[in-house]
Amino acid sequence: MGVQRCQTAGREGDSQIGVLLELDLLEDELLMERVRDLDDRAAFEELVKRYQKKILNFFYRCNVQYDAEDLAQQTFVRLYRYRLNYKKSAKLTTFIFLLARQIWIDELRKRTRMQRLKEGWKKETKQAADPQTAASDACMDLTSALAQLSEDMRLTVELGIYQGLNYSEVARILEIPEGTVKSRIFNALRKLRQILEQG
Amino acid sequence: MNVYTHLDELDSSAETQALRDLTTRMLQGAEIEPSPDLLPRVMAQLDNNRRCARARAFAPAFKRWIGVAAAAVVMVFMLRFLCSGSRGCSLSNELWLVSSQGEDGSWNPARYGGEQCYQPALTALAAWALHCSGERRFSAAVERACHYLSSVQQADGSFGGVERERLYNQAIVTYVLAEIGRDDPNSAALLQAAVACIHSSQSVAGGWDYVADSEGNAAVTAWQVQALLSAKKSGVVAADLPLRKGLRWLRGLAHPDGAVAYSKRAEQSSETINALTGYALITAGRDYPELADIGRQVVTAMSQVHSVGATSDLYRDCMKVRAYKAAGSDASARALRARMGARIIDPAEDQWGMVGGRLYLSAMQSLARSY
Repeated sequence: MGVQRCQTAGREGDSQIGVLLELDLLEDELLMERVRDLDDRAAFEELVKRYQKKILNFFYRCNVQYDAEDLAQQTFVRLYRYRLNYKKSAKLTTFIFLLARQIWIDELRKRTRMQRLKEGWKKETKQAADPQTAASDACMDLTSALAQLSEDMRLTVELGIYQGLNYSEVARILEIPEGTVKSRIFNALRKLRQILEQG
Repeated sequence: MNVYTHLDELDSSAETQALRDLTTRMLQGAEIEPSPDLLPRVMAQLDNNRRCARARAFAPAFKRWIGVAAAAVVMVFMLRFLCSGSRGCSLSNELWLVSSQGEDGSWNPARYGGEQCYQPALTALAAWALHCSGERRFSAAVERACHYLSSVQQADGSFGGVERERLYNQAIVTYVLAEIGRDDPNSAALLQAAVACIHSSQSVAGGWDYVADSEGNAAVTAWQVQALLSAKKSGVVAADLPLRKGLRWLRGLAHPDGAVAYSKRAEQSSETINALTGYALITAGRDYPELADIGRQVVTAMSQVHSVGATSDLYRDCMKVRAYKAAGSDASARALRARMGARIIDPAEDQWGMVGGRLYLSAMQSLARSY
């Protein structure tokens, strides 16, 4: 088990003593409190280690292929920047995925803007095969089936199934009622099943 | 409630069982692993943000006033110098540049009406102008300049200066050294360090700026992108990631009509911004599908973007010539080049004359002829 020395920039006393904490034993929320209150670099590093795969796959399943790591990086930088907004009562998972969702919305806006730009120029350039079109030709798999869901539905599935969050947390992140989460999950599963069967 | 308790609530029909199976299958699906450098990248960005925050917190406000006062003194000195008769020089720009090179290989802007803090960038531009002239007799001067530029690189890869001048020095010197020393194996380590320095100052969004809390501005970002592209072509693999992010950010500033905004916050456009961005997108776009088309559109729109006032701006004109050439508009490039060549410019009359002095003017006129 790795033991890390915490940098406690916010507290001179601690840094002089050189407090040793077994960071990997601390809960996420306690680590985040150390980041928020003490600007603790080591605690933040531990959080990144814990969440990098989840966040990376969150974006990957958003159909982001090449930029998933860039978006994950942006999420963590935003987590640090917004550390003072973190409240002890909130689950850290909820907080992080709220930020990841905002990053994704920003990214979607950029992509939409680029799309408009392209249309404006009316360039008849040969486009690479659209993943969704390609998917309909090829054997259906889960990834391409997921890509056919609406963005709202796909995000709900991502958080409620892949990330294993409680529906109440999903509702908080997506800012929708819990009942809507429930219906979206059910409808999404039905639709996925239908797509896979047709494929 | 979670997905399992949710499905348990449902009846035990065949469909519910199928949905349970589907959920299980979804969770068994393969996930991708983060690359080993994701964590170091996040932490490097964090450290950079913390440094910036500290610098902002402790920077005394009077430093700015000292800077303003120093700039005023330099401007007064430069005006007096210009009035004393540097205009009558009959040498061509290139010959004048060679004659004014210092013993250490640099060009000292303060001696010719420019700002001392831009010495690396102006030395690089002067060397680049001599190199692009194609005259072999200037190669010794170019070599000495490159040697000087290599010698001023600091441990962190930078070429000196703070804030605005640091970013311009870094990009222009890196660009010129990468272009001139493309086949020189000795330049690899230098370029790698220079690229690392550029990367470290990139915003999360992908741009560069000298203003706190800004995602970036098009003018300085276009230069960083060019530097990274040249470094990449010289074999610096690490340039690829910041280059890709920079291009994406730059691309996002282009409007459907081809005008390019200065930044996300400031929507104003200018010919210079269009020329810089268009050129960056065209040249870098050869490796990235569709960017070159966007770049050409930006250059086409350049003539419709009118900069305020009729002040001479050789920097703008030179960048426009380069952009026209890259976009294949040779006729436009020729016409503009002819207008530039026929004009005698007093640094005091040029938009950037106070910053770059005669070094800048000579380099720009020379480069415009070479592009």
